[in-house]
Amino acid sequence: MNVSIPSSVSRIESVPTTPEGRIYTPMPTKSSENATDTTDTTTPPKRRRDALNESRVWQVYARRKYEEPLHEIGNVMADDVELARVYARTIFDEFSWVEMVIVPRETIVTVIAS
Amino acid sequence: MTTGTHIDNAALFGVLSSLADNKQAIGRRYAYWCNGAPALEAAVAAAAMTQDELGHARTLYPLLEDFAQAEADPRQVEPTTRTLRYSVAALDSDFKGWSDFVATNFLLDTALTTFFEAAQDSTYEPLRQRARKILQEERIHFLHAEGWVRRLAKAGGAVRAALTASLKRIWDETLCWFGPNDDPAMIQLQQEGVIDATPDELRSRFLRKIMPVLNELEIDVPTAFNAASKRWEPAQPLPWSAWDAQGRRLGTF
Repeated sequence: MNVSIPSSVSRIESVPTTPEGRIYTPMPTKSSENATDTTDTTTPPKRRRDALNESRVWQVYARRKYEEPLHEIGNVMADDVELARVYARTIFDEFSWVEMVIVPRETIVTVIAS
Repeated sequence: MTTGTHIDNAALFGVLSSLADNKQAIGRRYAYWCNGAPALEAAVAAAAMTQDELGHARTLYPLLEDFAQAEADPRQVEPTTRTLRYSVAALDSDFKGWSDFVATNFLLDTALTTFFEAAQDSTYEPLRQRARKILQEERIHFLHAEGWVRRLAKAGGAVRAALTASLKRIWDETLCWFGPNDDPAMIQLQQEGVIDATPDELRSRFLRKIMPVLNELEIDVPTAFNAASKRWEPAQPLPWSAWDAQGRRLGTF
């Protein structure tokens, strides 16, 4: 896929760089002053993340064969279950799973703490 | 109708061209946001959906070669050489924000999905085969759209305002894409069994998908539920004076 990405839209939340180090091109739009506009390309990342408040973690379990048990393959962050399903499907697509389930992390009960 | 080995059907050729061009344009606009989404997970989903949309276009363009209408200008069957643009005018320019991505995902892509649903038992076998595969992938696209519409709407303030502005931006053109109810191309396709619905029926099916979400979120759009026919309908006239029937787009967007 030949995709041209302009620097002004490079703003994935989890990139571990300082605000000064991020590729970021402010534009003089009225929404640049608004702290809650998640669609605004100019709002600093932390404020956008705060506005979306995406804080629920979902554990992702899957198996490749019916004779195998489900095993944990990772996790995704999403506020609602529908988006969590989409994210799990698109992120963990390296195999043709026969089953995949997601579990909200807060529902897991620790029996023996590590 | 066939001429030699080619199908002579201008209506089907035109609609297939529009489907392919819209899928190609959606894929290109989505691609711009593959590393620009508000969260890493959403960026990965955007990349996957980009590949899906471009894949849908890639399966549709080769069908055009089978038509007599392509013989006059073979350049028009390849996305790289094609000079005609039958995608909606809203896709002529870049998305201005993530809310435009979400609105396109929720409205336009869902409208195209409504068409493919109507072609699941198509008499035109190549479309029937592709429709079923496309619909499998579109299920997850709609979940993504629905999830993000909810998130942006519930965020309130300027976020919600940006979403409603993006929805409004493509609202009319999305509803128009099915054509007026006497649209010659769509009516011909319905009569030939290529699809199983008229333009008004397709519009109603599309509204039936999206209206529960918009109603729940109290997002106002100009629609009304007709209790007699039990169908959702546009509450105000669509801008047919600007409708380009050939390109299936609003000429004065």
